[in-house]
Amino acid sequence: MRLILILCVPVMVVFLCGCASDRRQAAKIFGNMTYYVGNEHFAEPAKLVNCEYFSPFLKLYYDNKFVYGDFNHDGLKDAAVITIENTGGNADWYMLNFLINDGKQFVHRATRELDDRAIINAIWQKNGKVFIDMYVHQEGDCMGGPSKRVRNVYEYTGLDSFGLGKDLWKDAPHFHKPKEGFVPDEATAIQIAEAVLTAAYGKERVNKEKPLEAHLGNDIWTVLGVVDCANKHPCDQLSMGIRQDSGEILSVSSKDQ
Amino acid sequence: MPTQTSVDTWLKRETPRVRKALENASSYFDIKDPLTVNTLEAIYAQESGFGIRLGIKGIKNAAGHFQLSKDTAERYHLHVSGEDDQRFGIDYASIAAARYLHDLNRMFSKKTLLSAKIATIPVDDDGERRNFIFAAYNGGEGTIAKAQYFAQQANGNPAKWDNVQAFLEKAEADNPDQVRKYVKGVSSNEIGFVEKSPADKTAKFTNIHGSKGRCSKGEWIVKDGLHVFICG
Repeated sequence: MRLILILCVPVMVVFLCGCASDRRQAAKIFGNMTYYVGNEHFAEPAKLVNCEYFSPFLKLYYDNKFVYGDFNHDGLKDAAVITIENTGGNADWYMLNFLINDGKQFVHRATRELDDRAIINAIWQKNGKVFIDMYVHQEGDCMGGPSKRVRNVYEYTGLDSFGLGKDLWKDAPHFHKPKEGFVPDEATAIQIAEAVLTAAYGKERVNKEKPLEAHLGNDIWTVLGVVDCANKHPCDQLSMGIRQDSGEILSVSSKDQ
Repeated sequence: MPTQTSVDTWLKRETPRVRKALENASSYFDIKDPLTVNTLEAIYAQESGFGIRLGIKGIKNAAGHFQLSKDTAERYHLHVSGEDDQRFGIDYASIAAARYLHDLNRMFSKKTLLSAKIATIPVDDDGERRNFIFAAYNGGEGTIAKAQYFAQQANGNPAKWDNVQAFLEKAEADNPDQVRKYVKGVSSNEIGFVEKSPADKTAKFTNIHGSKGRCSKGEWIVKDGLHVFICG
């Protein structure tokens, strides 16, 4: 028994120190970066310094609750981070922020609202989805006492506009949208894909899989590289999803066939 | 959100000690304020269910009997730390809440510049102004003042809550629906407390504190293990 204790204690100490060190490291990154706060009507970039941001009517805090995972399924480690927003009254809104790894750094791409004064028990990820065990308000609760225990699942589904796109382009003149959408045909889809895939994976890799092929289904163009996977496993193939109507890039990947 | 039917339940939790604290705090309202001890009861119920859910001591976020943020509590000279958090003392918390509500009432009684670009628009009607005060307690005075501005821009009446609440989304409220529900909830609670509460509604006229109780300069000392603010 004593021997087990002697062996276990150092392991526990190393484990706990490791967790504390991870948290300190995370606080350095997530507590000192820019988050976008807003909705379709407005957006305010809030640059946290030492886990806090103050402007006349907005306070934002990093809450030291986070989880790593590949939330946009591109093979890179992203993060989901909880922050607390306050606009001057006593409501403290807990928000889940998806920070996507662009290869160089984490960039805030999307936010999900949790609850005012939510009590967070645990946050974890599985298969690129974020799970949060927390107490939220239900009918009859006072503001200080959320009493409904929930286990919610949150998924990254693409970039939030945070009002930025709308504000930026609202006065743009000569706005013309083709009847069949911004990506009306196969040739346009392939041109877009070639440019984006080259930026992501390099010219040499894209040239190997040319000519790219595009198929339209459910208003989404799926563009694939051409590879012979017959004698090769695993076999990576470039792939990309583009929305026909808006041209939005839905996914970029090098997937295993 | 609580409903008016809960008023009886809350009144059972209102001990003579708590009632006295709320009555004393109501003396921080001006005679002209549309606020009374029943307003404090209504907010107290909505915020912590009469002291049932107080939260964690020392945190920056809303906590204590009236769910005041650390910033707001310290603005009204409450001491906030993990060991001694006066937001958790009913006397201190109710006085700070009363002073905060009094200040919100003043902000929406006359044009008040909140920042370089944002100012409130006066709401003359007492009944209407209560809605603005409650909304600001939950959503922040800046957000409500912005909603007033947008209502005015859209040729609405910036002194009518029904007009203004439609612009909360545009005014950057974190959750506009919650602010709307909060205003309805507190207003409904207040009506219930006016009808049923035995608290002394005239306590606000006693002004037991006079101007001396409202000092803004002074220092904190520790007395009997508690932090006490001594006016300078």
